[in-house]
Amino acid sequence: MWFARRMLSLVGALALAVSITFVLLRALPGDAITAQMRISGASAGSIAERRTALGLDLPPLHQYIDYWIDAARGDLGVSLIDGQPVTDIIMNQLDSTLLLAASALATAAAFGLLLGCAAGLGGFIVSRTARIVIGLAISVPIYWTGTITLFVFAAQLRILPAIDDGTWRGLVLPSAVLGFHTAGAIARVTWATVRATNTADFVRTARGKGLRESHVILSHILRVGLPAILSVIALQAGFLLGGVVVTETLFSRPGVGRLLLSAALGQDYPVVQGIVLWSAFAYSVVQLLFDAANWLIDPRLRTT
Amino acid sequence: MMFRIVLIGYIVIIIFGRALTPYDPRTTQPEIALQAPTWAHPAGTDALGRDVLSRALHGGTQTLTSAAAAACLALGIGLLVGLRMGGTRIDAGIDTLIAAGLTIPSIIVALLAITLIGNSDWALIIAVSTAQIAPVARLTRTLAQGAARADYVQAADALGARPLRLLTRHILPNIVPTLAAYACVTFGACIMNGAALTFLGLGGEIGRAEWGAMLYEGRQAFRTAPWIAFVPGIGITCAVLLLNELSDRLTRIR
Amino acid sequence: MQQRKLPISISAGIWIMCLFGLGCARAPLLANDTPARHKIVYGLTLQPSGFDPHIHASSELGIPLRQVYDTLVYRDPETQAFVPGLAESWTISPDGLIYTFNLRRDVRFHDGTPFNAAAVGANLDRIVSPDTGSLKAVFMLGSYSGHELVDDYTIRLLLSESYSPLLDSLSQVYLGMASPTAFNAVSRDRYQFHQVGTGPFTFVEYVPGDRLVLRRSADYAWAPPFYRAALGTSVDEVEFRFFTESPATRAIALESGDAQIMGELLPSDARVLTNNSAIRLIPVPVVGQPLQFLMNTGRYPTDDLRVRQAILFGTNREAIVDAVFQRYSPVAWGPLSANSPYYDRGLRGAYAYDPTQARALLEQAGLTDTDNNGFVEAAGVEIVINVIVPPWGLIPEVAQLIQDQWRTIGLRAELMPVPSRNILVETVNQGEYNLVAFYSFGVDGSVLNDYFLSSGSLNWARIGNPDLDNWLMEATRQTDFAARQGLYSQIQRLIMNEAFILPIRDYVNLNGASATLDGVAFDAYGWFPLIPNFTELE
Repeated sequence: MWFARRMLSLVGALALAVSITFVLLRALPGDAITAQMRISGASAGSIAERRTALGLDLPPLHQYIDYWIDAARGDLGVSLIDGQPVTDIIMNQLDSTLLLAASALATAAAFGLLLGCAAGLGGFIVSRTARIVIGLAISVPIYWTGTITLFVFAAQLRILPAIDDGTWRGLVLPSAVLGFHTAGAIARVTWATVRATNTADFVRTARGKGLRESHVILSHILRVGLPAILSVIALQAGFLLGGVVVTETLFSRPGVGRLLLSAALGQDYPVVQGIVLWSAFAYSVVQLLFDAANWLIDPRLRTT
Repeated sequence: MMFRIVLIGYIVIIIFGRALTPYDPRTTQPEIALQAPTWAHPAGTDALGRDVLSRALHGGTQTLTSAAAAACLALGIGLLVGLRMGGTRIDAGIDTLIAAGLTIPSIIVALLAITLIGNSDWALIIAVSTAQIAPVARLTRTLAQGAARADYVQAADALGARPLRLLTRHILPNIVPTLAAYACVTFGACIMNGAALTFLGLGGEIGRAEWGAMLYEGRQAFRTAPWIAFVPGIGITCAVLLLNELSDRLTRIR
Repeated sequence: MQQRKLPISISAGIWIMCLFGLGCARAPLLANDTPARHKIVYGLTLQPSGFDPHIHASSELGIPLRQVYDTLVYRDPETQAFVPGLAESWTISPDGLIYTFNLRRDVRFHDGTPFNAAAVGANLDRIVSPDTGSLKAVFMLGSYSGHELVDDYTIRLLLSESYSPLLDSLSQVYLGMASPTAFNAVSRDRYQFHQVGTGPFTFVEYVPGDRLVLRRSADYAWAPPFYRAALGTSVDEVEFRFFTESPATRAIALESGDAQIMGELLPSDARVLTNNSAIRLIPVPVVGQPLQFLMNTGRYPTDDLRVRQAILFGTNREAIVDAVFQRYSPVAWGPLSANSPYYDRGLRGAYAYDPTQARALLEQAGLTDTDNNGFVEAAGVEIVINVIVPPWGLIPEVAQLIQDQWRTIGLRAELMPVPSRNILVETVNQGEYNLVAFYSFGVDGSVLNDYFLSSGSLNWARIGNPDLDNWLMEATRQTDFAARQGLYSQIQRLIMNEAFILPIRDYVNLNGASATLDGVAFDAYGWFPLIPNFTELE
């Protein structure tokens, strides 16, 4: 029953996300081909003809309904620029995005939890250092960290490639940099939660009972604070799966983020809608997974 | 004590610093472009010969107020949306809305804002804050849900306490610490998003002495002139670190 | 007490397994039988929406595809004159309406299909077909109305009216000859992944966002004279990678050795690279229009000639070329770049920087600073010059410099940044601008048509000058080179006399190449490398 409700919510989120995007896109003036055709010297007549052929002059409601009818059959449409199927276009970028998202998230979760615990529970020096690192992770723009690491490791030391070369080495820099910055948000929430829980009575009891500190941290403090932390991790997972345009650009990796940017600027509606659909889907699936994780760790939720 | 000194010092510099600068942040002097720091120009000059220090001091207020505005907007709306459901019954509709909101790319919102309002600061603020509303709402919801399950809240509810009282007396105080912490992240994210959108040309007026824009310019020239990004970078990092510390101290008062 | 394993470790475990799985799945693609002995990585700076030369419009696609396709004619890189390509010879009828091409008989496409007149016809049909949806190639054909196959190796192109840029169009990769067998075998959107031409390199694969790979063709026996014959040290495989919008990382990729050659480096990075002995800087001027601002003659105050001239006199272009372009580009004096065959040298020095003259002109136009705030007004209303500023080509920096320079003559400039080309076009449509930065490239003088004809699709200066219209149309019809030069001379002078544009600098593409790469040369248009001539030094 709970599962069915979540599935409904998932579908609803997808539909809503794409619908909002649809409206926002159509609210922008211009379209995918007019500007380029004018620059190529096309006459107003040819432009009008081409727009009709692409269905761009149909009333928006008509376009909206057509889109959903096709989508229900699995047809996400084709690029307005050359007719490539949207599913193909997105699939081409997907494995790179998934790979980066997975490795960056793993790094971020591990590093974030560690930093957060260090900041909330560590001694004076450890705690201060951790907090400064967290501050850097949220305040330094990723394009700076990325540029500097590229400069140091790729150009000067030449131990890592500047572009994705298809092996694990091409993944190290982007996932490290992306992971570091994603860890910031996770660490911040971990720190606050841990600190708040640390003063709770049951923790004092646990310590008073003589339990090992690591056990206290893992089983008592983190366990209770986990829902909030997991919530942030899930959020970041959703963002990562939706594509991270700056990272992809910096490290010259294919990915859904770069695709979204160029499609949005180029007003290639079907591609943008397809990507939003994917993002909403990926986010919802991640949410489902983490809700399940929540359910496992928090016995209180099971009584509902 | 140390912290208070630094905080007040920082605020003073931000507000009054601009009066101390001898140079107009917009005056270009290409002859002295990309000069390393000297006594005349303590933070060096940028690619068009403008004094980096003056620009950074002038830009500070702008960056921080824009980011603060965006963050407040996001926190306010996000809180309202998130609390509405978490505190009372689970409203699957709002849940869906949030999930949808998280996946709308901020680029599109930015493009739309620019088209409707023009490529100005307000367009940037709106675009940046919209991206943060859903995450705040999401976090609020999870926290509020957790808080609502506490025994004493259930007890109060059973006693017939009105939802508003439940909210203000029981739920809100429990979620404020974590939310305050997240507010820092939101603020930092607003600065970063602003800089990223500037990176894409969606960042409002060009040539403004705004830190995000200066960081971006600095990145273009970092091989030849790494000092361009130094002062605004320090400014942003300090702001975020101070805010971290501040929220920390505020939430300890309980 | 039961010790529950935290789900976080389970989740982490799942992620790590996914990581492994995907990592293994992304194994390097199948190699060909013989490993390439001389392989280079060429950095592209833009990810075009597609790579079909008949459909898409980006000049970036020409960089790899120029090696895959031959064209009927070529332009010699040194002299810019037309030389035979797939056509051995050609004649143009006296009225300019019929172009007859005699094709080579020894050419085959990479898939074995013989090259002949029917193949050329099939290509032209594909380009003009509405189903193809060409965004550029079809418009380059001008008044082309059809073709006639005279015999197996002779084809006639028919025009509805004389159109002299046709040969120029036919020398460009957008009208390259593709194998009809290949493009008929797949749907129109799939052809870009399975391209077949007759050129010195064969198309191996294209993975969007990732790479495009070419391999030298062993059977290429019909090269134009400026392609060097293959040597043992010739580059025989090229992998194009996409280093999109991060100019700062282009130089890094060259230094790290991840790319052996890349264009469009930032001037400041180019300066740094000149100190690196492992990398050579190769500046290549591109022919066409310079970086320019078109001045809107339909909007106050740029509707007044004196104001436009004041803008020209009041802009210190030497300083801009110095500061922004690090002296890698020459100052532009007119609507065509100095290396255009139609360039009028008499324009050099026109409107040289003279702020006094600028102020005087503004006064004559009735604009003075009556309230002493540093900016001029007319009848108490402050004058604002709106400038549309796109994000490419360092135009934002140029605009900021100009804005500051105009303060000395009292003009207030308001910069309107636009994030994309589409939005730029829409902003222009709304009409509330005085200056807009836009320009095109090309060797033929007809590149000016769209901008300066009253009916031109890019007539953003809102010009309606009958002389200009007549001369431009006449130059497009006229096939005699000397006559065209005369006409374009008049055209350039009129444009500058009327101050329709503010030219800034001639475009110079800053390429960086590894010092081990030799023979690096570019074609007559400036953008496209002649990769068959590249060799690797041992």
